Amino acid sequence: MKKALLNIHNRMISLYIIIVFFVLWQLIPYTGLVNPHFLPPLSKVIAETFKLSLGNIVLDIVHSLRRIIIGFFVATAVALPLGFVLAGALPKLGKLLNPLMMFLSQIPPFILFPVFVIIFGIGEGGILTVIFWSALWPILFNTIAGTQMVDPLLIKSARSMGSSQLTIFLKVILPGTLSSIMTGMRAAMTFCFMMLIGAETMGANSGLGWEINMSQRMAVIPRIYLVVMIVAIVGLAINYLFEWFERNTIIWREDAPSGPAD
Amino acid sequence: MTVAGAVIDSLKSGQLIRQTALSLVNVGIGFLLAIFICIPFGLVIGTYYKIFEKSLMPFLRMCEKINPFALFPVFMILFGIGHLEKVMVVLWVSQWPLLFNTIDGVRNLDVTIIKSARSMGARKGNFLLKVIVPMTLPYIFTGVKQSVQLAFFMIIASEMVGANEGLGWQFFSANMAYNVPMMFGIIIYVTVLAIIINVLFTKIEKWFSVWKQSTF
Repeated sequence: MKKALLNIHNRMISLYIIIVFFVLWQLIPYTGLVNPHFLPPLSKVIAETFKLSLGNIVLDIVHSLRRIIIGFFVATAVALPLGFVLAGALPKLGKLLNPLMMFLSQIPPFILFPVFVIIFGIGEGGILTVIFWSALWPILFNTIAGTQMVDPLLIKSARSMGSSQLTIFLKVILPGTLSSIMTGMRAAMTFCFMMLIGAETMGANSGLGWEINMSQRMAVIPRIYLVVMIVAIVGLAINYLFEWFERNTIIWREDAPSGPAD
Repeated sequence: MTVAGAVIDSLKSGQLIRQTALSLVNVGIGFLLAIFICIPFGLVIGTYYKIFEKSLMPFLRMCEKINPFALFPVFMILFGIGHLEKVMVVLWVSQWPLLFNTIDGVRNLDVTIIKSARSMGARKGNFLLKVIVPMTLPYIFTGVKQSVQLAFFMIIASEMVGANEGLGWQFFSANMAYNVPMMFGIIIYVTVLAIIINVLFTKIEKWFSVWKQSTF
């Protein structure tokens, strides 16, 4: 019995901190240490859910997710073939373009947003382009790096066994690079989600970022906290989804040896 | 007016330099604060208080995932628009890579070295300074590099959203005035700055991890 309790305690130990955090959030505004107008207690923030209505929240989430999915998938569809071609088929061109790509990837996407708005007009175009742009580079660079890291011996032996170019690509290069691609995609997804909120704050008429911006303009402070919490939850959910996906698709990768056992 | 002309004009009048300096000062203060808070914290959490690590890590990981763009309004409410808010934004975004890399570094310490140092009678204070810190230094500098990039990126963004000075504001006001050559000029200028920072910190990182390669 005691052992079982201790076991539960060990499992829950990380949860305690989170609970303490929320309890403190609820209590601190009442102590007068901070202005309760600027830091509303948790109960007020949660009550705001009903004022905003759940339907609106779901709608905002759907709008944001739609943008991120479109931008991300277009970026993947462009970056993957481009990466394979630049690294595998045309390595000279890849080398030539590398400095340019490095330069472009270093441009902070957020600063590009107004330019995209000028070019593509206010509305979906600008936001989708920003997401596309910020997802493109991590995927592209990781695909190139992954392709270059495939053991040439494997490719040579596959060729000597008489497999065609297509077979080599599908059976040797693709499985070899997939783990690197997934790393890139995960980094890209995290980055895109960050940029999405930024872009929606700057110019949009729907979505989570827009909701934050609107609440800020109307000075509905509990609503800002509420939407920030929702953004955090959506971000965490995306992250866990990706981790799960990664674990379940790349089953052939050997796990890196973990550090000294604790 | 050409892009280069706009940048040169702005450089000549000293406006661009002044705004760059303002932005960089904010980044510098926030970043130094992050270094002074996170590295000792990471070292302590990683070495002596395993229970802390176990209980705090999931919470910290959760905090790390909170979208900084979503937090801008919260920082504005809590700290007001101005230097303090900018410094806090930089501190917030740059603490995570520093902290997690330091903890990672401590965790990946070579156990044999710890054991041999202990068997040679190293005391706790000595142990920390002579064994743990030098061993984790390469990891710490990886974190430093990551977080300085993030910090620079975020300060520009946060100045674009709400500020009355700094590079991001300069860009925003060029945008408001529809001064397109200036906008492109600042984009290139900021990118070059980012690359300079990147190269500089890569050099520093290499310099600090040289001895690591030579020992192994």
